[in-house]
Amino acid sequence: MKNNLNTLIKGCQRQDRNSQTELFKLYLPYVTSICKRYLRDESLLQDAVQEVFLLVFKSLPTSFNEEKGAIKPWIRKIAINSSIKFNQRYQGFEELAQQEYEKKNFVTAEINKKTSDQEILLLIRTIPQSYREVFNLYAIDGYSHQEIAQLLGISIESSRKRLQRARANLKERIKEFKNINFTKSA
Amino acid sequence: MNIENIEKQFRERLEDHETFDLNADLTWKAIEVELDKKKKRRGIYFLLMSIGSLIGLSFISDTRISTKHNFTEQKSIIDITEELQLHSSDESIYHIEESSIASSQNIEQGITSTYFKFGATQESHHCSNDQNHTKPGTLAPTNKGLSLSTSTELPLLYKESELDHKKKNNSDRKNLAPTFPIPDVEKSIYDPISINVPLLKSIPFDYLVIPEPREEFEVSFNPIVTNTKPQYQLELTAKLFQITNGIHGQGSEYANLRNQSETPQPSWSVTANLWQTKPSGWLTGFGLEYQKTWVRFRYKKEETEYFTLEDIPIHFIIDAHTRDTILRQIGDVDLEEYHKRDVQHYNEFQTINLPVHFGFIKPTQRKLTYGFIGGLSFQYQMKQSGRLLAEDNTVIDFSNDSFFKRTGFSAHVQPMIIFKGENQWQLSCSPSVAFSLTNRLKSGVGITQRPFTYGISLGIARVL
Repeated sequence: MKNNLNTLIKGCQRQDRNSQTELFKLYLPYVTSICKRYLRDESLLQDAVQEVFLLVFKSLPTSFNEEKGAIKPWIRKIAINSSIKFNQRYQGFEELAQQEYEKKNFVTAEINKKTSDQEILLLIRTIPQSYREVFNLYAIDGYSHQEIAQLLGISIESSRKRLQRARANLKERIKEFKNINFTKSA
Repeated sequence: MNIENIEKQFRERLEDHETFDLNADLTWKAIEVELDKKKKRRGIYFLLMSIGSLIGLSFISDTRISTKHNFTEQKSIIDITEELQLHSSDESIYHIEESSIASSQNIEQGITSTYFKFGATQESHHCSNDQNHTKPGTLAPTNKGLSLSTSTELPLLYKESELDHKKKNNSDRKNLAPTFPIPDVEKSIYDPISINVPLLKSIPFDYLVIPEPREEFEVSFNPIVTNTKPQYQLELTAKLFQITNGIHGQGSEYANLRNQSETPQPSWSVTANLWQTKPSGWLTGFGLEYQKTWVRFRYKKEETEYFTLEDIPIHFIIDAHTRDTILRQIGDVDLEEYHKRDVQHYNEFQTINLPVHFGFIKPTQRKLTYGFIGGLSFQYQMKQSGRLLAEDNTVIDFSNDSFFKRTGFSAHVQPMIIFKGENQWQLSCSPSVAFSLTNRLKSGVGITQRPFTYGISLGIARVL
């Protein structure tokens, strides 16, 4: 498996189209999940994922060094950074999309009986955008407050505050989510 | 359950979470289109370079000719490499260039490429002068000839993404999250070094022109610094060139009649152009060029005594000022004092060009690229002239030392169509039309010049 992956990476570094296709197929679900978690608007998902892979293919020949780390965390960093950049680029679309998302997706999630992972993803997506970014970075992806502050261009204190608010918000959502679940099941 | 536990669960579940919300085939197709576009963009860099060098050449040639023709009117040449050029005017330019052989590997990966070019040139110029000349009306010196040239480009690509750069600075951070903005800025430096050595230039067959090859050795370093988002290209050119002789047409004749020849002079120029390319294909840019040239005319001691103004056909004489200057210089200086030494007439030029570029380049899916490039340029030139030097460059006489300033304006537009062939074997055909207009608004020697050059360029190039 590792050998296959190395072959793929080397192929991508040579800009071999078949290798690029394979690598894309291998990591598409992973990248999609990360982008979905970070993006303020799901309608940006397709564009964001495309951008991530374009960056990956463009940077692989020059920027990726196998000795310094595995490909997966490297792709993850690009996906996170791209998503945050997308959010910054499309500021203003947030609130409406957020509200719509909240209304529709809880019900959809429950009706479709999605996996619990999906439910968690949905839960996280209901946190307001600015808090969600910090929550994702800190709680899921292991960034420190200092790193978050630098990445988002905010102060460390703001990062802490946003995390607190995200947590408070999450607790509320968990309760609501359970209520919805319960109500529907009944 | 407390929040820390919740977060821990979240992390465990989402760390490697995968979701299948997107249609893989559709997404991949979209990515593939973008990847193909990037390949085309590589072609645009080449195009930019050739456009840049074309513009550079047109301005530089312009100035060069003006330096060589400091006794004549100023002319403008559009010297298009890699193309076959047909200039229609009173004296047509047939510039036939080229079978170009190039071995090119993946430039984007920084592998050196080498190009060899062979071409033939046939050119002449058309320009008009105003009433300040001794002979009013149009002087259209002719220079028709064949030219073979070879040049070598050694493009070395340095490419480093922002991500890589930051990674280097954070090499101890392993898999920790990056603390830098999204790596959407990619910087690259594309730096071809081109050496242009004309093997044979100008075999004139006009009866007015004596066979005097214009020999120039030219080395240019042409890095292009690229920032892909937004797409800005900073093109820097440093050029060393040598003017050996090569006053076209009447210049050569003139020099011959005066038993005068130019002394080989190294000159240099530096140019910076900032380009912005848009996905739609539009190009805009502006630049700054500084050029320094030296031209020295050598008078042979033994031969100058044979020189008289009457020997020179009337249409080779520019104005009374020049005639007087020549007479004074030759007449006043006792050349016997500098026994068996040549005397040089020294000219130094400093030229500043401020060009503004615009254009449109559109690659189509049928391997056809079309577009146009145009530009306006303001020129300011300072010329120090009149000094006589001995062979060892010591000043013999600077009583006629004078400092002239000239301002100028030029405009050009050049439509182009380029066809590209298959794979590594690229067959390119690039017909183009070039138009340029330069108007010296003010001249220290009292000459207002309005050179006008136009033509159609057709070219075939084969790249291996």
